[in-house]
This record gives sequence, structure tokens and C-alpha cells, in this order.
Amino acid sequence: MQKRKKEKEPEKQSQFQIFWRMFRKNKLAVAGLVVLLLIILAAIFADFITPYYPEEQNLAGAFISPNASHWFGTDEFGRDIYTRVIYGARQSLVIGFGAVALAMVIGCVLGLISGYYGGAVDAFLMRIMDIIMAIPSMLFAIAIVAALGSNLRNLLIAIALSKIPNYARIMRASVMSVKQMEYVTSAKVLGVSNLRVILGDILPNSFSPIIVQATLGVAFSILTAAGMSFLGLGIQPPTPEWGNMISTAKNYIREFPYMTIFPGAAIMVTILALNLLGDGLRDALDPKLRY
Amino acid sequence: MKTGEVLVELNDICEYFSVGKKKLKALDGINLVIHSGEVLGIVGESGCGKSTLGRVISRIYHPTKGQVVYKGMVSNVPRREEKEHRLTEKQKKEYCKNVQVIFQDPYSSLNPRHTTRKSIIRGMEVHNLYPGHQEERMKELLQMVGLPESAADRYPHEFSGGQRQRICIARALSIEPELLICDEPISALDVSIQSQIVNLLISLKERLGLTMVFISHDLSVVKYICDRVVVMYLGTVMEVADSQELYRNPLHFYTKALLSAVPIADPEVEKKRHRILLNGDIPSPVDAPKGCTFCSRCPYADALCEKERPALKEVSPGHLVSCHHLDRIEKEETKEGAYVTV
Amino acid sequence: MLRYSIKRLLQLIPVALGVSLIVFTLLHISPGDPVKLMMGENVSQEVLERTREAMGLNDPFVVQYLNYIKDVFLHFDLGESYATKQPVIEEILKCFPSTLKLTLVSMAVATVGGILLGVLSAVNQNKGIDSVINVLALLGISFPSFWLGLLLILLFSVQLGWLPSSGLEGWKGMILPCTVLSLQSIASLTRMTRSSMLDVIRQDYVRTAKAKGLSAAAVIFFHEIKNALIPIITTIGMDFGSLLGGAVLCETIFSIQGIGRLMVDSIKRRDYPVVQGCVIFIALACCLVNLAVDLLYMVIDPKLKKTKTEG
Repeated sequence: MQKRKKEKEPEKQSQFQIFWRMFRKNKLAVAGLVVLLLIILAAIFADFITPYYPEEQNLAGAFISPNASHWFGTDEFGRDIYTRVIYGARQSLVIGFGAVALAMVIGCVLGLISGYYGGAVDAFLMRIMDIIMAIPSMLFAIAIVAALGSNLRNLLIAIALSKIPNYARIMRASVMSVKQMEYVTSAKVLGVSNLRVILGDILPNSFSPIIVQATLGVAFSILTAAGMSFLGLGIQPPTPEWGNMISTAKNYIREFPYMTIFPGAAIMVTILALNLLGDGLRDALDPKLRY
Repeated sequence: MKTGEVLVELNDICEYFSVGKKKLKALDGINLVIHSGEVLGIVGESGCGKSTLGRVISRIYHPTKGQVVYKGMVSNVPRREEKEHRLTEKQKKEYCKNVQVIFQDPYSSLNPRHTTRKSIIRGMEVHNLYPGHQEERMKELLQMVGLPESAADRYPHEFSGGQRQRICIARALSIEPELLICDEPISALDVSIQSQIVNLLISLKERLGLTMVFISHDLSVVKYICDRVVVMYLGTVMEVADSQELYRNPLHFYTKALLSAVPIADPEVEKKRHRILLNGDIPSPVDAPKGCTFCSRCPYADALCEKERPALKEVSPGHLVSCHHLDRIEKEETKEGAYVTV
Repeated sequence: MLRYSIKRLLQLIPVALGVSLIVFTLLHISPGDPVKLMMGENVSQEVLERTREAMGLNDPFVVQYLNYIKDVFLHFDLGESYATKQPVIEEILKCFPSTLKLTLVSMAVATVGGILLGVLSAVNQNKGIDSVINVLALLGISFPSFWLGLLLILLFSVQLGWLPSSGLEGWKGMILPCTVLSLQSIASLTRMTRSSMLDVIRQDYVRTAKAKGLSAAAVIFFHEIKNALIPIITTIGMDFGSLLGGAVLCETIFSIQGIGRLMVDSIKRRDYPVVQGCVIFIALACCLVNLAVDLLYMVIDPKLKKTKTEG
């Protein structure tokens, strides 16, 4: 029944238009995208949508339960939790997207080289990836932060390094399957150079699984970063970050549970949005559903 | 180059692939010439190495041994010998320009993210042809292969298999090659489309004076389109002859068996057609026989066949056969008056 | 089968060496003087220098690494803790049982729960129960585990007083930590099982089995699950690593004296030999589990058994 509808639509469409048409059908994924965009906008324009400064202390006004002037209440130093949650999004988003971007670039380059050239280069690179994969990524990130010291940059590097093998492997597998395609052979027969074949034929056609993995990777990175900050190995107070806010809040969980609830809910909503988006992308990009 | 002169020469081409520790001999000592302006058919069962041969000629594969000579110049040798033959990048690119391939599967041979325009213009850009006039040239090509100009802005998934194959042909012709290798160009298409593409190829060949290598397992099409035919079996050449001669007077027992499998359109004649059924399956090229590759399935094979590979001998002008026992086969046949039937 | 197992065990050696090299390098370049960390600040320069020489810290990096490797692989000696002066391996073995108990129980819970929910969901595709499970699984993979832990403590320990808020004693003490640790795995396994089952359900041989008149239950248990298991087992094997990673958080929240907690505490104390030891120990544990999963594969999938044993 759906098929007939599809046939009626105009034939001329780019790959992106097909993708968008598939994606748009998935209401949950669109909702995820919208929520994520709202969170990003909130983080960018935090200065304009928050009534207080995130690190402004007011000991007289500590531990105020949520009310009209402090929507999420205040913490042990009287700082406005709503403000801190909004500003906290900056750290999480920077780490989430930054770590994934870094891991993706390095991983994709390694995977491309590995898959395209094969042979000894491939074997060598993949053994290194195996070694990194052998250490659970959370522990690997912890070890790196332990060595380099805990701050935003190191946290980002640590998470990125631990995730490189994922992208390298996906990219490699997908390059190896695209490499078999006759359009790659045709390009070579036409005399197109190796670099151009890689950039023009192989990379664009290997990218779908990477995009899906990246979306889920952002979710994973945000969770890991929050977890590490919660352990005291990530972003240090007083900089507002969801993980370290929960870490402090747990000391007051019996008396003032709201201090724990709001930053945690912020993490959950972000991750949920990313997961919904990732599911939608996967379904829309899945070649099995195409044609 | 004048019609009839030697365009490509294949000297003792071998192509081995390693399968685990074993060697798969896809091509084992192929000697052939391709004349300028002819259509050379290469036929054989699947797995006999005919596609591999096409890929060696077009430089997709390097041979393990032997050399491809194009217009008197060495153009494809084993990778380690490239230095020895002073093969420069420029020469390789020049050779790419002159030899183009059309593949079997039109669905995977176009980049799904490129419009027809991009697919066709790409080759011209690489070789710096028609600077400034590429757009017109592309339209001309589209017209030549029978596609509307509006096809230029569309993506591969919007076309049918036959239309895609037309785009592939336009792409191959865009850089004006001299030799066009068609690697089973019609076997992935619907039967109704096949003849259209075959006729298109013939007319283009006439119009552009192309030399063509036509690889196929469809003997009737090969008969229709080719001037000369090469019969391959397990990586070796069994028989080479002019198309007419080969179909009228096949000498190698394998060729006879192959031809006897072609259905005949006339029901009266078809009823009388004797089929030669070969025993067993084609052996795996990993452990191909040491002597004549065909000896495991040939009813005439004896100890000599198992030990020694027969050379490709010219039995009449232009008719080459590789068999030790041509005389015996002929004698037995006249005695029995017919093919061996099962 | 045996040959393959031995081959796989031997393949572990370069991985173990690589892991130790990475970790050793990382902590080697970390700031801070280990001798000062070990002996405190108020020691004379001379004593510092002598200890440094005695510990081999003045040797070139490669020599130090080789010595470390030699100790690790020949004597199972991971060095000595700066803080407690105890051998690191003893510290680890003291903490390991709790972590092992926590992860194994969670893994079992995740496997059973994930497969059950996934099958339930796939069999009832597009019905109410399927949607409910889908939503729960989606929430499950989106929940930060440490936050969930705190919320559960708040509800069951603080408000209701039913369960202890720390430790891992008795079945009551296990409930909260294992729930927290296994939640993500249950959720991801449920999703995995569902899609894997749906793939199998569409296969022709399953339709044939149904056409032969096998009951629904028989089809599910004899045909579908068995064949859907392969991707599921991979996921379980890979989850073991993330469970060990998650154990760090879980142990901190519930004050369990496990290996993860030991690691975090050691980082804060700058007790690097312990950190090093923990990472190498856990990496090896993960490798062994993945090896076990691989061997399990061959038992389930005879096709793999043939190719892998041959190749």
C-alpha cells in the first residue's frame, strides 16, 4: 500500500531527498532531532535565557527548593540549578560532539587506509585497534585522564582515543564492500587517481554506517564524560557540568533530592534525543529499505 | 591505425590468485592477438577465466606472468617488472584512455551519488578532453546511446538496467577509446532489452571504428556480433577461429560440446539436435589438471593428454586448436557418423 | 577445535603486550615524581636519588618497560603499591571477587532478561506489548546508570527502607547494584534480540517449519532463537567490557570495595602501579571472556566451526 504512494511521487530526487523523505516519516526521530536542536540552541544562547550567573554564590539562599524564581531550586552554595543545568549543556555537548568528531576523523582515515590498501598495512593497523578494543573504553578513558590530568580537553581526547577503533572498523568494513563495486573499478579504468577514487567514490558511499555510529557515539561520549565527572575524574567544580553536579548533589540526596534529579534528567533527555535520532537515521539510511 | 593490423598482443599471460596456501590459476599461458577494427568474442563456461582475461587487458589486474603489448608498446606486465619496462604513469594513463570496459552489472557500475552528467564528464576531466565543450560532448554522447538530454541530471537509481547500461556505454566512449572491452554487457539485463543493447553496440562500433572484445557465455549472441571467437576452458585457450568457421566447423571436442548445447530456433532441426553431454563438472581451477586442462572430461583423453599440455596449433589459416588427438576425433566421428551421445 | 583454541590463546599474547605497552607509556608520561609520591615530600635529595636508582627509574624507558613486562608475565608481579606498600596483585585479588560477582550476576540478569524481553517483543511485533518493551528499552539505553542508582537508593533505601544503600551482602544487597549495572545491557540486548529475531522470522525455513505444523512455541525455541543467537552472543561478549567499565561507577555509588573503586581511589592517590595493574588485569579478563565467547560460537554455529578450524 505504501509502494503505490511512493510511485506517484515525482521521480527526480537526489539521494538526500530520498533520505529525508524516509526520515521524515519517523515522527520519533524528528522529535529527537528537534529536542537536540533546542538543547544546542539553549547551550549557545545560555547567556540570554538564564536569569543568574552559573558560578554566582549566595550562601544565604542555599538549598532553596524549586519555586518561581529558581525553577530547579538552588544548590549548597545558593547557585541557581536551572542556570547551571543550561550552562552544563555546553560542556556535555562540546565533549560529546568534539570527541566523536575527533575519533571519527582519525578512525575514518585509518579505516580508509586499512580497507583500501589492505595487506600488511591493514594487518598492522587492525592489530593496534584490537589492542585498544581490548581495554573497556571507559577504563581506557580513565587511564588516559589519570595520566594527562583531568580537564575538558583531556577528557575529550581520552574519550576520542578510546572510540577510534569503532570508526576505523566500520569504515574499513564498508570500504572493503564498496571497493568491490564495479563503479570503483570503472573509475580506475577511466584513469581516475587513487586519491580521487577514495574521495569521490569510496568515502561518500561508505559514510552511512559512520553517521549512524557517530550519532550513537555522541550519546555514549556524553554519558561517559558525565560518568567520569561524577567520579571526580572529569570536569572539576565549580565549572557546571551535569556529572559533577550530580556528584555533589549525592551528598545531599536524602534532604534535597531535587538537586540530583534535574541534572540527571538533563542527561537523560539529551541521550534519549540522540538515540531517537540515531534510530531514525539508521532506518532512513539502511540500503535494504531503499529502491 | 589501419583495420586488420595487430592492436593488442597477449604474450603468455598467466594470472594466479592465492587461495589460502594454494594457487588458483585463473589464466594459464594465454597467447592471443586482437586486430584493429575486429570484434573478438571470448566464450566459455563461468569460471573459465574469460572475465579475468578482460581485466588483464584493461589493466584492472596485473598479470602474474607475461605481458600485454599495445601497438608495439608494453602496457601491462607483472607489477614487479614495471620498472624494467620503464612504464611511466603518463603511459599508464594514456593506455587507460585507449582501453575502456563495460561491466556486467549495470546496477553496481555507476556511483549512486553521481548524476549521469558527473559520471560521463568525469573521464573527460581526468584526461583533459574537450576543455570548455564537455557539456555539449556529454549531450552528444547521451543522444548517441539513445538517452534523452534530461537524463543528465538524474541519479542511477532512477534508471532501468538497460538505461544504466547505456550510461555506462556513454561513459566508456566519452574518452574516445580505441578498444572497448564488453564484459558480459547484456547478461544482467532482461531478454527484451538485450537485443537493443547488442544492436547499439554494433552500430557504435561501425560508426566509431572501434575494436571490441566481447566476453560472453551466450553463444548465439557471440555468433551474431563477433568476427572472430576464442573458446576458453579453465584458464587456457581451446580454439580460435573466425566466427563463421568456428560455428560451421568446430574442431575441438569442447567446442563441439558447447555448440551442441545451443538451442536452434527451427523446431524441426531442433528435434534432431544431438547434445554432447560432458561427464562431470568443470574442475576447480585450484587443482587444474597438469596436462591438457580438458582431459578430465574428454572421452578421447589418454596418458599423453594427462602429461603434456597441447600447444595451440594452426590447422588451417586463422583456425587454431589446442588438442593432441584432432585426427583421432575426426576419424571416430566419421566412423560413428555422429557425435558421441549419451 | 583444540588447535583453534590454542591458536586464539597465543593470539592473546601480542594483545596483552600491546595493552601493557600503552598503559605503561601513558603512566610513564604522567606528571609527578613517583619516588616523591611514594616516600613523601620530606625526604633528603640523597635518599630520593638512591631509591630512584634502586628502583631502576633512571634506566631508559625501554629497559624499564622490559623489566616490567618480565615481572608481569614471568612472576605475575605487577609491582608494589606506593600507598600501602603491598604487592599490587594482592590488592587486585582482594578486590576482584566483588567485581566479578557484580559483573557476572549482572551479565546473567542482562542475558536472561534481554533475550526474554527481546523474544517477547519480536513475537508480538507491532502489538501493545512490543511498543511497551520498545519504549522501556529506549529509556533503558538512555538512562545514565549512576543517576539511576541514586534514584533507586532514594526510593528503596531512603524512602521505603527496603534495601540497603551500600555493599553487596546477601541477595537484598545485590538487587540494587545489579539492577543498575545490568540496565543498559538488558536494554541493548532486548533491542538486539528483537531485530535479530525479526530477521530470522522472515526467513523461509521458519515459514517452512510453521507450514509443517510445528507449534508456535516449538518454532520459536527450536528454529528462531537458535539462529538468532549468534549476533546476540557477540553483543553479550562485547557487553562484558562495558559492564566492567560500568562497574567502576556502580561500585562508587554503592560503596563496594571492588576493582573499579580501587582504580579510582588509586588515581586520586596517584598510586600509579595500582592503576596500571588494574587496567592490564581488566583488559586480560575481557580478552579471556571474548575468547570464551568465540569458542561458544563454534559450538552453536557448525558452519563457523568448519571454516575456522580449517583456516
